[in-house]
Amino acid sequence: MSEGLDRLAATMGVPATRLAPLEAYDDQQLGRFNDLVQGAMTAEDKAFDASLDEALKLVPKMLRGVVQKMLGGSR
Amino acid sequence: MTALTSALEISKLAHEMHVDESELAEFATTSPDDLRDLRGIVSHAMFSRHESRVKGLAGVSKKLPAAVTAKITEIAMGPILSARVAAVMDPADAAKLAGHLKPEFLAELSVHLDPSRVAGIIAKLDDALVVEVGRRLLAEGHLLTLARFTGVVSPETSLEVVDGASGAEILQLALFIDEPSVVDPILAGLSDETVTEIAAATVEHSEAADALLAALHEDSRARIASLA
Repeated sequence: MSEGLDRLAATMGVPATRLAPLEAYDDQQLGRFNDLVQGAMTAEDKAFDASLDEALKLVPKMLRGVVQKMLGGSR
Repeated sequence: MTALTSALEISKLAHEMHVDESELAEFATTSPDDLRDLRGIVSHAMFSRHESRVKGLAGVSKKLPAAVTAKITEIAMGPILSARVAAVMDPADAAKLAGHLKPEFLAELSVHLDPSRVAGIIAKLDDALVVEVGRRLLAEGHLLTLARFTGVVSPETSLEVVDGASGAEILQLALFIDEPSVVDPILAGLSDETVTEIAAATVEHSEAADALLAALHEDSRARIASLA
């Protein structure tokens, strides 16, 4: 397995063997694909966090602490 | 044929990754089946990223009245987060919540949903609501999204959704559908006039016609051929 494939597999959280059909592509191509996946994940993370912040503002104050606990206390 | 179906799979993968399909053009030589597997891996990777928090939110929604959750969903959560939460909610709770949401919001949310994760919810929704959301997706040109949902609704519902759609739209929809066997009962329920339009559209896109015809039952192929 190439370095590019290993990196892409790590990004997607799967064993590199799951990506065997992409073996034909070189590291540069796989790097571009990896960048696109990471970009999609980052964009979704931002949208997700922003939505969550807005949602918490609308949760009644008395429930907000409970909600934050249910979300793992990370917000 | 393979190149064409790979191109369709590239469109689906690009949709999953929120990128323009031209950015994935260099991967178009990958087989359709491998691209489909890759889409599944990307989809799972994106979904599992926030899974624990999403499950937490689904738990929260159980503690709030559906009307309050609906307000939070529409005003604050937005379609992406809402789609993720819907995928892990109890189908009965999600269906109840959907009844409080506006169809235009449900249509927007649908674009970000993986239908295979919410088939249980859709089964509990009022048919009229499903049709209305489907028609909005069609009107807004979300044919790929609509195609993905076609596999989890009845052919009768699909036929109501596409009632009045052009032959070219129905052809594109059929090409985007993952499971070709889903197309046959829909085609059987369409009027001769609409099938004639589809046949005309396939003439304009001969490669697309090859892909579609190859996937259909021979009765459907014969009907299209007789009306071409």
